[in-house]
Amino acid sequence: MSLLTITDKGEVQVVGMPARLVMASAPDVRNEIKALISNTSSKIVLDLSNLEFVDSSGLSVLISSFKAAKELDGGVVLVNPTKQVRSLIELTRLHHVFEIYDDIDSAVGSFG
Amino acid sequence: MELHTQIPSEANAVAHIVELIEKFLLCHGVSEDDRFRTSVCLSEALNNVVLHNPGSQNDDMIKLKCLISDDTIQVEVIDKADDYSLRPDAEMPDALTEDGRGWNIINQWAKKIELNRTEDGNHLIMCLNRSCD
Repeated sequence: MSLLTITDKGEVQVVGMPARLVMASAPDVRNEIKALISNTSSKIVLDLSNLEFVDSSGLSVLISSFKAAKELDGGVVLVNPTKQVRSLIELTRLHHVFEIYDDIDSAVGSFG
Repeated sequence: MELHTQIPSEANAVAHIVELIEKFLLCHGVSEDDRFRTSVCLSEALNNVVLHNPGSQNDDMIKLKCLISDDTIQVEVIDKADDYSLRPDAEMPDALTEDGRGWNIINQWAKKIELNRTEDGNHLIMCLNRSCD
């Protein structure tokens, strides 16, 4: 069973993340996103609105997705992290890597 | 308030116990921000143990203690993992490096970190200040 919800927005795929992204679940989530990137689109919106808890293992999934999409001239942007998840993203300085949007339409629109 | 428990050295057990600790903190009035910071630090510490000592033998159980006071939350981890040490000078890796953020996160969010070697194994103590909200 997929850990992710995927919504097709034309050239952009919106990926709904699970409630928890930790070392136990990171390999499966990483593989699902990488398969999506290689098979369909390299323009990815990661919807973090349901993501309640993430650790550095989970952050590594975001980074590996970003790198995989960039290799195909695409990209990964983030949307709607909770206050707590955003605090960890900022603590680890990943807000310098990822564009972060407040709503899905803006995130999808960022790909032009 | 104190909670004592132990888990096998496995990633799934870590995921489960971190959720349980979060519920323990919630039940005792710890704020959402403090629950998150504590849980992340605990998860990073336990992940480190699992990476250094994977397995589920009874004598390799990881012992945990969580103590809540008015001002602080203290988490203690006792384990038998080999070859790890505190990294007080751990720097945040380059942005696109996928690993190596765990100790830096702990160093930034915990006000006190100690690692003592005892006959029971490694004894890690992390103490976080509670916020005012």
